[in-house]
Amino acid sequence: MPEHTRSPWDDEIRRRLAAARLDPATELEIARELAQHLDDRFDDLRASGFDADDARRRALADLDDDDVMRRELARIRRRESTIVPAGAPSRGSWLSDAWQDTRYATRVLIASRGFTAMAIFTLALGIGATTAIFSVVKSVLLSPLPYDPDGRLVRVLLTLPAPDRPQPRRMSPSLPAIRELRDRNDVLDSIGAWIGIPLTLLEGGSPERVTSIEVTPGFFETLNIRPTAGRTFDESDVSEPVVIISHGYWQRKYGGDPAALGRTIRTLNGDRTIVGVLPPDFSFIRSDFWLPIADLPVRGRAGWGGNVIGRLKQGVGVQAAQTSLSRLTGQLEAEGIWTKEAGVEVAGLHAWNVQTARPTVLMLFSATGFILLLACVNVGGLMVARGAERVRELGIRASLGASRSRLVRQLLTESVLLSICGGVAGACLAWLTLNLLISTLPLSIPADMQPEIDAPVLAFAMAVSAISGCLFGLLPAFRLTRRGEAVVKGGGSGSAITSRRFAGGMVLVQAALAVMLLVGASLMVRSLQRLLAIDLGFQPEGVLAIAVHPVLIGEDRDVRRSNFYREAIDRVAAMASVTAVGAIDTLPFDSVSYSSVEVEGTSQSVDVSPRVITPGYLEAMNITVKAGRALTWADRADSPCVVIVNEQTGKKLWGDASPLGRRLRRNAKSPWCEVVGVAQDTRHFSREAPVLLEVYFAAQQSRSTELTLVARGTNIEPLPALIRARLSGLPEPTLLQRITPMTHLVNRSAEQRQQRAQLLSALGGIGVLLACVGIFSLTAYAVARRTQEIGVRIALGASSRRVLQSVMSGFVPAIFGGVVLGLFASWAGGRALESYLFGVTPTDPPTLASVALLFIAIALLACYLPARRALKVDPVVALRAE
Amino acid sequence: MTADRELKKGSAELLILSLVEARQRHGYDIGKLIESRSGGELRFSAAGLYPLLYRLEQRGWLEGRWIERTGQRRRRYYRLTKEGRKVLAQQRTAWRNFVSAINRVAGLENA
Repeated sequence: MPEHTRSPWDDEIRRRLAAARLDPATELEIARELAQHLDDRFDDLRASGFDADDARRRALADLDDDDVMRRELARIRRRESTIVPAGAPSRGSWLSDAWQDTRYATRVLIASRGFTAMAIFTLALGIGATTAIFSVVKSVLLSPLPYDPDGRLVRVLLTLPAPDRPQPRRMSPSLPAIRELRDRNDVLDSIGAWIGIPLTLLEGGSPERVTSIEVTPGFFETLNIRPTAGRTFDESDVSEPVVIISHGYWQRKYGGDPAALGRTIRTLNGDRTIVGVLPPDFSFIRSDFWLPIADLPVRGRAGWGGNVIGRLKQGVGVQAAQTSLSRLTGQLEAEGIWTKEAGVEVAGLHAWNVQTARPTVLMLFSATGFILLLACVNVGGLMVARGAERVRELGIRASLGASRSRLVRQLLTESVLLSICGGVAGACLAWLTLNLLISTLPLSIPADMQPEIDAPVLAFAMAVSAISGCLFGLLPAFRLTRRGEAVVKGGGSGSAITSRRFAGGMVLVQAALAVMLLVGASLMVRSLQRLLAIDLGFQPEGVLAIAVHPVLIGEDRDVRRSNFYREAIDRVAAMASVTAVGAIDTLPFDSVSYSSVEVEGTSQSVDVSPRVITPGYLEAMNITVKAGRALTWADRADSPCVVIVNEQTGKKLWGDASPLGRRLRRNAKSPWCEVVGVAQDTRHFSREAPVLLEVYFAAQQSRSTELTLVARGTNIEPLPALIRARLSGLPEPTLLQRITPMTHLVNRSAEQRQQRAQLLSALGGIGVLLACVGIFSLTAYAVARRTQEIGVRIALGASSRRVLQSVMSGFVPAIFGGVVLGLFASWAGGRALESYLFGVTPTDPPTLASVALLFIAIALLACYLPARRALKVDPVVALRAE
Repeated sequence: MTADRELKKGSAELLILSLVEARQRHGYDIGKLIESRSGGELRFSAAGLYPLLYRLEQRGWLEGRWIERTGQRRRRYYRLTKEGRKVLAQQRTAWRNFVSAINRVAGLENA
């Protein structure tokens, strides 16, 4: 007898229960139970030989003690009833209902282990990825800087309009201007500047090159730093031979002895007296040595390379500071202290620090959001797919008086429970993979801002879990309860066609999301490929960069330096497996310089990127000389000045005419240098940047400067050790900093882009996996649900092809539709990715086409594999089950 | 002769709790077992049995739930809760002591 059909005993039972005046749900349930009792009693009496009427009469006699029943049941009516029929309108507190719902949901989920495991795994992937990236968002974008908890530190920059650029040029104000700002502003408590400079230590056995930081007086006060010992710098220390050391160095070198104050540190440029020790938690910049700013002439001009920071007064915002300082710099400009036509920019230090990281982090966060959405759609689809098993149960409970909202609440409890389990698993996954993620992130994160899975991140994970549960649970809940109600009303469990349409819709959405992720990843990969395919103009393979420098004390340093490098080059060139050696002041992919040159015959001064090289450099780097000749050792200091220009410079300065024989010079005080060769264009500093105007000056004819050797060899692997040996015993004390293959430097420049491509590819792969798992599962459910129908078809002689077609026909159009939708969405939203791409547009047709084909192939396979199972249905078994 | 109504009332809870101690049972089964194991001495009508079951359920000594088995009618089964087990043990002890005391006073024990 269908559960919702009335029992023949109903009228009798209701009549007897009426006096107890129970609430409808309780009365209904008791009526059902008594009806079962009477059915059993009736059957027993009939089995004993009584006729139907007699058995009925005797069975009903069991209820005749009306008064007892009324009295006893009344007690139940009056008290807080714990007889809450499952699904009946709640009369208890929401807490007890929630607890009951949770217990029931747990039983249901344990009973379907396969589905539960799959759903938890899927959600763990989505929530785990989102949580891991959120930890990065929190540490990089949301958390205040560890040394600026109030957010009052700002950067102060001088800006110059640049007509050929979208953004103005930003640079450091001159030191005199900084002093004026400090003394005359009314929005900053203090202001300071810093610059990193190399420092050669002569402590210990061999010289050591470290990075020291020169700072202006007021720098440490701006950061609210008090020294652990000694003092910070004041105006009297400017250009003086004093030093403040880090806490770590103080511990390592002096064991934390306060008597370290007053001791000296030996450097190449003289001894320095220790006047202070920084506190152990100082984390603004990592350096062991802090020097007072040297008031050099070059620092009297803007653009000397320093970084200026200020601390806003209490209650003053960045905008107010901007307005006030703009007014002040206007006055300074009139007094000739501020650069003409230059503005000032005040930016929050945190905002400044994260501006390059922000777009990348947000892009990754969006991508993981896609994954999470995919996971929710996936699980939601699975919940509806197994809905057929639940519809009957829901129908029964609706017949017991359960309201739709109550049933929806029950189903949502299951969804939320699933998603909380998924969230816990996801948080564990995030914790386990966080270090791996950080190492692959296309950003550099300071050590004291490393992401971690802490309480706020866990709270985020739980919130995401709960919201996901509601998200993927709502639609199935409303759908299934609607079908359950239809069962109650006798309308059947819902048409098979609408079920198929719904499953198809789920497939479509998943396919679209996966395709979008895949398009993003593919565009990144193609950008990387385009970038790596760029001709650098030189060949880094087989080349070693040797940072070796003389430690010169005493007279004639320039001559001694030049002789040192000549000797070093000769020694390396004499090695058997070395084919070419030279040296340069600004090593490619390591540093670059800019200045201007004057061109003979014109009044123009042109901005170029000058290089100082020795003979052999162009050969070592395999830079082709297209016209004229390379530099030789015959181009001496007392010979006529010569230069080599690259093709770009030749075209820019002299058009189609040959540059050979033309002349240029650094400035009015320098001699004119003749162009004797035209070299191939190179990408000096990055693959992406346009080719610079390169001018190669001969080292022998230039002011002596530090150079880096480059050596090309037939087999460079064993060379570093051999070179170290060769370069020991040079005439001057030697600082051999490092020997690096050029390929390392070159590849480092593409590292971030590579990491971005790798990360997005991983996310794209996860997206495809999730979508295919979803398609696979939905198809498998469809086959299971339609087993009997398939059996009938096979029994009627349908071919394998027809059977497969009928199973897959619900999903194949959805796959194609989802791909089209995903491509359209990628095309529409492509602009968001534009800034990350190189050499490829967001709507690159070959990329979109290959993504579409790849996904269609994988998705069709995911659909075909479970569909094939339909062919194994035994029609006899299937029909018997019918 | 049917047992006195008062005695039956006092022992009803003990009877029901002990019948569901080993396994869960539905109401009709409980009623039939009471009748058969007592040799017909004890009989509960549906009007008396079910309110008693609901009362025990309200107290948290029994837990009732609907179960449907293949080929059978859907029935409401009752099983003993943890609290119910404690109460059963207490009631058994109390009843044993009571019966023993009655026997001693009324001279029903063997010498």
